[in-house]
Amino acid sequence: MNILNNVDGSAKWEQGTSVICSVTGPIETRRRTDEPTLAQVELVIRPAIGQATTRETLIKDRIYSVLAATVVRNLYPRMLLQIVIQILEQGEGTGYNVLKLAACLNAVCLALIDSRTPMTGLFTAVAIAIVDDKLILHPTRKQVSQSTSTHAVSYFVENNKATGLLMCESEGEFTENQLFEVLEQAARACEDVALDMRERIEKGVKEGLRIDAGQE
Amino acid sequence: MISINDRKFLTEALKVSKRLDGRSMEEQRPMEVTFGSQFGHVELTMGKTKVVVRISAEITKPNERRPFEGIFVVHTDIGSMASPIFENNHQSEQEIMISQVVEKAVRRSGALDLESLCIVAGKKCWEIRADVHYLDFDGGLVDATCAAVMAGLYHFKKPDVDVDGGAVTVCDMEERHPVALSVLHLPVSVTYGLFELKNDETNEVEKVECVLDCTAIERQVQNAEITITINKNRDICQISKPSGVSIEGYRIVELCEKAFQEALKVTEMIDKALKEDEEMRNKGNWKALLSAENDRYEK
Repeated sequence: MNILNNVDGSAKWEQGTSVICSVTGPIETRRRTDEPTLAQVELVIRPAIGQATTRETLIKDRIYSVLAATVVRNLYPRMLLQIVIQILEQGEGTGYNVLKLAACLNAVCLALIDSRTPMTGLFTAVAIAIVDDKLILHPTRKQVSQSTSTHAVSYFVENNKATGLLMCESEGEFTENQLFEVLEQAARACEDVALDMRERIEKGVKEGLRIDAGQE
Repeated sequence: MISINDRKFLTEALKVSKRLDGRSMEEQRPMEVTFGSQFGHVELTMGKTKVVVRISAEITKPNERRPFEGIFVVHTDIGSMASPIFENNHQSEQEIMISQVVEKAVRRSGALDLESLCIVAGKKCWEIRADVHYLDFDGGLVDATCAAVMAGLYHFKKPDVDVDGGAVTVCDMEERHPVALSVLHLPVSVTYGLFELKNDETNEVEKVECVLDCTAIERQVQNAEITITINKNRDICQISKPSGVSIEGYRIVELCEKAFQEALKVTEMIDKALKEDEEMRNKGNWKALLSAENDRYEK
């Protein structure tokens, strides 16, 4: 957390993939907004290699849906929240984006907190792959390519309890029961990630406070 | 943007040869290069400036006018992650300037041997692509980009190919040892900011100060900038000074000499980082085991 100097908030998330996210805002919009009562969220995803493709647009769309439920946009009407996600290491084959999606969501959450953007709460995400009818949390590159289906699940976490499902992006073939199992396991895993995140945030805030005190 | 007070403070300090961060006039911020797990993944930091370069290779059809050459492209796109002054998906004048200077320094200086990228003349060749990602901006983008791309080119290895008649097979990285690119020389860009120092009373220009490696704040005050690209063989690849305050010819020659000294330092730094990375990858000395080279001895 807080690794970049020129933006309001930034965070890096490494888990199989490596993703760095920056948040600037609220700032003045350059374009006219469609919604006069809400803040505008500009989200840019830059892939490690090449130009942004439909794959990035898909990730972007999913992240938007999560942000719509968590960022308190009505506090800053007609303002702009600029979020840039830079993927540094793909970590999975070109046909997949589970790991990326989960890492992006976690990085965005941390960066938003770092930038002190008002949110309704914490959200976390995990990647799950099903290999030979077995659920694998945080799969490796090889496991992703061997899997029959992949799932990226994001939960809203309150008081260290996963309370609401924000997003579930599945790809491949799977049964209804498998999906329920995935959601169940993902909820527990999201809680673990949230605990880990809290620790980091605590550390970040403490370091931040120390720097502020030093300047005074 | 910078306030009038800040601007004045900075120029007054320069008059007595002082800089905001305590460096001397001709002191470059130290560069630090780290390599990722994959070939051609370079992270370079220079003060607060942070650049990530990814080199990638893919097989395409060569340019019809140059059937014997491969293709090398550098993509520099500065987003608002580096600094909110840059707009996403929109190139400002400053950005275009930076990408042109980088293009000249790295691509047109012939650093990469394009003919070695040819696989089947007129049909297939390698396209080497350098994606530059700017994470943090504090001046010196051209210098940082140039060094990072060159380090990346040295570090990158492309998979080996087999040519059988017209059929080309790409060998797996694990099956056959990947091959390094043939890089001919290492151009280093050195950027000086030129500051017009005026006399307080007469408001006449007393002298033009050349300051090496300006930070983002200094860049806003500078009256012009000059980028010299030079390699350790003393070949000047480019001198770029777009508009701004004028400078005498002999001082440019002087600057070139100083730039050469800086280029030596940067070259040494990149060489050292490459060597360390090579040693780390070569743990267990598998390279010697794989080598088919015979011992050479003198008669």
